[in-house]
Amino acid sequence: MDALKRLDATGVPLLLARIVVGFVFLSYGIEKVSDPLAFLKSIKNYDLLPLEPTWFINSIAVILPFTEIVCGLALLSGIGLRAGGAITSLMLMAFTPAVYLLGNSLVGTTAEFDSLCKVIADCGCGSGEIPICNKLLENCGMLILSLWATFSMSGKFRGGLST
Amino acid sequence: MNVENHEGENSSLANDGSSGGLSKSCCCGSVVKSALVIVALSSFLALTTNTLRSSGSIDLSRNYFRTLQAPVNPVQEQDSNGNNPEINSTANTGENISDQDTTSGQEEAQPDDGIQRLTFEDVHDHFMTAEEMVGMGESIVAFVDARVRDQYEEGHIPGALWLYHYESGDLIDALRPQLEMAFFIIVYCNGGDCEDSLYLAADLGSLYGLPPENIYVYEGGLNEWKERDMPVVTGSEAR
Repeated sequence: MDALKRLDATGVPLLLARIVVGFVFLSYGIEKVSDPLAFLKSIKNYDLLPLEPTWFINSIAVILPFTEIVCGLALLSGIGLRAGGAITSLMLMAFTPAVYLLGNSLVGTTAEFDSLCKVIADCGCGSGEIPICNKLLENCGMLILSLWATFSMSGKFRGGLST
Repeated sequence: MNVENHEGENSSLANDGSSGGLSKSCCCGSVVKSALVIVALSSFLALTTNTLRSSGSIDLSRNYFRTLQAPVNPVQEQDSNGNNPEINSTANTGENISDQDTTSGQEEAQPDDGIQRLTFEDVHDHFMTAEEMVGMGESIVAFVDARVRDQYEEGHIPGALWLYHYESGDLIDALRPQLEMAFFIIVYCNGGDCEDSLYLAADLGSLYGLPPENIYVYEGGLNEWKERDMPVVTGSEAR
């Protein structure tokens, strides 16, 4: 724990978390905003959300990309840093099992997809078609960084309005 | 630990974690408030942008993934161009006529969702009929491409009308005369796991009032069409 506190006090992990998670969420959010209908299809393909009432899944497809953009900006700017980190953490906690389930459902559907790590799919995350295992690793790494941004007590590299 | 207080949500944790439960709950409350502000701001921006967007917006009240409740009765299907009614009777099963005697078990494997499906052979026959009638100025077969515009322009079945499923509400009126004239409306997308043709077929019958018995889905889609070396037209024009 002491080592973690010392590491946190340097502010480097927080800076890394802000830049990496902020940039990734910002870019993925912009990608989704550019084609909300494609994102709606991606959400539906997970078969995890109810299709009735219709406004529910439609609203998620409309609002979620903007939430990602605002959270990305919060992390990059430092304004609302903890809240941005908390929301991205919650999103990653929801998305990661969903991506796992999607990948798992595709195992065995083609000759190439004989195991989870050989499945290549578009998870609708904004990253295009990538190996599911890579996506899961990416999400786990970003979850750690998001949690760090949420709970970090470092005063360095926090950004925000004051100096 | 030297911690600066840059925002209200940091204040309690800034005291090296020793300030007790009250300040921690204040911090959590502050984070929750900030999170709610972020969600509210995001929702406002999202809904405003969706309203102002000229194309590609999502209609919040529309069911984009409609399915039919009752199967279409093949007996009621029209046979206006003199085709063998066996073609229609096998349309629901997706089986070839030549295989009909041996497909009783396979018929049950077809989804009973009220969508009439056509095999490549059926679609091929309808396509040849449509091509023959082009010169006569009649059009009893209408191919409908449910894919996004870019994909349509990259290649589509000759004569196919572009009716992107997710924007069909804006496009249907211009195509309605041709669709109402047709006795075979064959909807397709890419094939494989593409389901947009199924959803569009359901919408054409239930939402846009076209006769459900005239609507078919070519599940093999454009991928199978190209694999069979059938002609494809590029560009924005149907032909």
